[in-house]
Amino acid sequence: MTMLIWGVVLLHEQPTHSPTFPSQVSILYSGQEEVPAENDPRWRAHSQSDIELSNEVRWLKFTLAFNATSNGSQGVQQTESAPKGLFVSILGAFSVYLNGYHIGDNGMPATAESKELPGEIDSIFILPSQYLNTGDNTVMVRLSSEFRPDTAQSSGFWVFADDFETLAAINEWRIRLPLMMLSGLVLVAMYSFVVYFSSLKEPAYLWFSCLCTMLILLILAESWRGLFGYSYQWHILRMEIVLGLTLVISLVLPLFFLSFFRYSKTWFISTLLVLVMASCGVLLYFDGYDYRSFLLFSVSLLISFIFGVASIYKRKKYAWLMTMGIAVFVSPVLINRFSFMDQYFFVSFSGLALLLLLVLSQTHAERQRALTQSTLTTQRLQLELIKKQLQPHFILNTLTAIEEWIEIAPKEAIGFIQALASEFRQMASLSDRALIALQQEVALCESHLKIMGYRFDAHFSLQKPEMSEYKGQQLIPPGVLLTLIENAFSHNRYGSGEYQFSLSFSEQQEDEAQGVSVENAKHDNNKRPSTALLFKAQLTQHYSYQTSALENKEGTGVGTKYIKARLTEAFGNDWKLVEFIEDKYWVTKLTFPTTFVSGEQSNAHAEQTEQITLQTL
Amino acid sequence: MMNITLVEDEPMVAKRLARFIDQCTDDKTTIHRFSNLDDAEEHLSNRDTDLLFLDLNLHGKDGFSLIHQQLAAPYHTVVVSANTDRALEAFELGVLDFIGKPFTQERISKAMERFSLHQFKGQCQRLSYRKNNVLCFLQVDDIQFIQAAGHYSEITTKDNQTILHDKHLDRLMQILPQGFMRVHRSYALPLDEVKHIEQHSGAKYIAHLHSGASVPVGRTKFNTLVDALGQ
Repeated sequence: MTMLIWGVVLLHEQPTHSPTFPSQVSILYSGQEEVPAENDPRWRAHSQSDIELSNEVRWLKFTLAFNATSNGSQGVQQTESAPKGLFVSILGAFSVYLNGYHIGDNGMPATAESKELPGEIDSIFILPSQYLNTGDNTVMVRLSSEFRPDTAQSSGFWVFADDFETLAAINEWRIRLPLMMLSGLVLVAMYSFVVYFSSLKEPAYLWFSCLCTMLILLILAESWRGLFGYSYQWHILRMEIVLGLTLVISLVLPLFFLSFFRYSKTWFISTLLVLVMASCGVLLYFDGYDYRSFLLFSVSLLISFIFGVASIYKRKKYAWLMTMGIAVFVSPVLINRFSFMDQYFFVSFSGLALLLLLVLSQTHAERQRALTQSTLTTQRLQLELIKKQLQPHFILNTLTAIEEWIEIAPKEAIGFIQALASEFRQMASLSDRALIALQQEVALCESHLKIMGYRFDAHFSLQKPEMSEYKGQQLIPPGVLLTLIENAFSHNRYGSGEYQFSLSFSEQQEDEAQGVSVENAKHDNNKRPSTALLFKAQLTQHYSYQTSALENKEGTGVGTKYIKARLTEAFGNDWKLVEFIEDKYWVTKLTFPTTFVSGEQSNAHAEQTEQITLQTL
Repeated sequence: MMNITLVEDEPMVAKRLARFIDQCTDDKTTIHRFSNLDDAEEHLSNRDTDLLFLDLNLHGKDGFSLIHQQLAAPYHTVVVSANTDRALEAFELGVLDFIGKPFTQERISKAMERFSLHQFKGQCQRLSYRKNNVLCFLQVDDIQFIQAAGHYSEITTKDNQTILHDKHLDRLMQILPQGFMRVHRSYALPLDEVKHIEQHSGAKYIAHLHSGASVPVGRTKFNTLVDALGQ
């Protein structure tokens, strides 16, 4: 892609021609309407770059040397086959005389009888071959600038001669690339805008859309001259508009990069301050519209580049790509400063836009992948929870136990089947949710313990904390406590007898959490209150909990994996699972953010909470 | 007189299994119940167990390694499991029977019958045995002949190694596949190892094997062997 852009830039050389520039520019302050003599003593040599503008009519004189050798071997003869033209641009109305002959007017300079008729900003005159000499030709211009804006004290006198056709094509050449970019930019601007408001709420896209819009305006302002032309009095206004747009772009570009690389608000404001100060400095202490535009844009690029490099250092995403983008696409500025601002800038910028679209599509693809992945994870977890109850080991052992109960104590068998049905019912209603009320989870655990009681001909009970409305409504992923109980069964050897599991809120942790949350409320709004649950499973004489799991945080068991996946799905990384042995108990301490079914305290998981409220209602 | 050991972690299932076994065996049969193999280990090492009913959750990874260990033991193993999809694999390792859960009285009786049948042909492809207390495997195809050695069996492989197996020759014959034949009170061999049979004076028969080794053939087994070889 970079190659492509460079290709366009390099190919876009104007056709080889050799314009003839004027020499010996002089000025004659006189309102006379007849052509002054070439050797009139009042002629004063004058700089071409700042002709003073006034209502007074003055004459400008310069020499065009059509050298026979530089124009081919035939000299005058050649001009007959390819008519010469003269391009003139100055802020004023004027008439042009070649070797004393009147060859054209741009507007009409003021005369004693009539006021001035303003001329176009750019004008081209045919240099009739019958008046044209080989060697030096004297061109005189009668000029007045009654319509000059107040701010314009002087004007450059931009004049050169070339083949007429070449001159006629100049404007077309100048606007060709910018116009090509224009349609693309409109699309990109709209697309970024839509992307921001429809899918990705990333401010970077809004900034980019803003940037593109400003560029579209800048292109229009820049190309207006070549596209439509205008009479000279509007020139300064157009230049001011161009400068203003450049200023806005210079401010927006670094802000876009800041936003793209997700810098904080503080960075945003301070960068904006620096930019504004630098821009003011440029605007106040420098002259020339193009030069100031160039300086503004350079400052802006420099700051963007610095942030790009800083982002590379911080290993931010796409930092390399974007920084290389700035470097590569902006480097044509080194070739030719002014034609860069005029033309290559837009090509380069389109490259940058293309890069951003690339990044955008990648971001989209990643989001899609992440979404698919999370959907898959959720579905897999749901399936896993159901599968726990469908495993042959569970079902067939249970069926075997049921057969035995039927034969030896039919009434007990009915109780068994009822308990089993109850667990299946609960499982069916809970498995497709990401979060359920703690009460529901506890009820599920109790059903399971009842089943296990029948299977083991034992008594299992769950000691649970006082479930006030408040605490019972806390949210927890389904099957987490159930999995802890299942783990206890697979790691211990429970025979016939009485066993007790216990579930409690870790008071110490709760107090601590509340203390911390109150204290931190002033500093850190992100700290949310958390719940710590303690689950204790009685250890039998032989237990096979892997003590290595205590040091090694990676739980390898299927059950532990399930718990971790569920917690991650519901709370991101905002949870903690600690397991340890205390007395004769295997203790699991689970800390996770406190959210409620009622939704009054939940904020981050408001969406999920809402969903559950609806379902419980 | 038969000693049966039962390893099953779910009390209700164990109770049911014990009840069924009890119903199809005589009064002289004793049943020992354990909830897991670790607890049963000491009891099993006494060598008085004849048959082990082992409940295995073959879903986990170590289920089969537990089977391997039991199969090197002198007693026979019947696996009782919910995971019936790996039954064939278990048979190839030399389990006497594989019973799926939930099981019926008839199925348990059939397993007990299988245990008492001496001519039962198994499907074992790979024998587990212990050598210096390390669990090893022997492909059944590599067996040249087997000689009874007290409670043990001495297996001679085709490359003339001798391996001592904890199982009695009678029990090995119950799990070894079709093609193995008991040719003598103390000898068994795969039929395709026999080159020819030589008759000595006094109705003594010797089977000469392809490897050059010779194995005595019992007088009562001679006709059956000749018949089997003729086919």
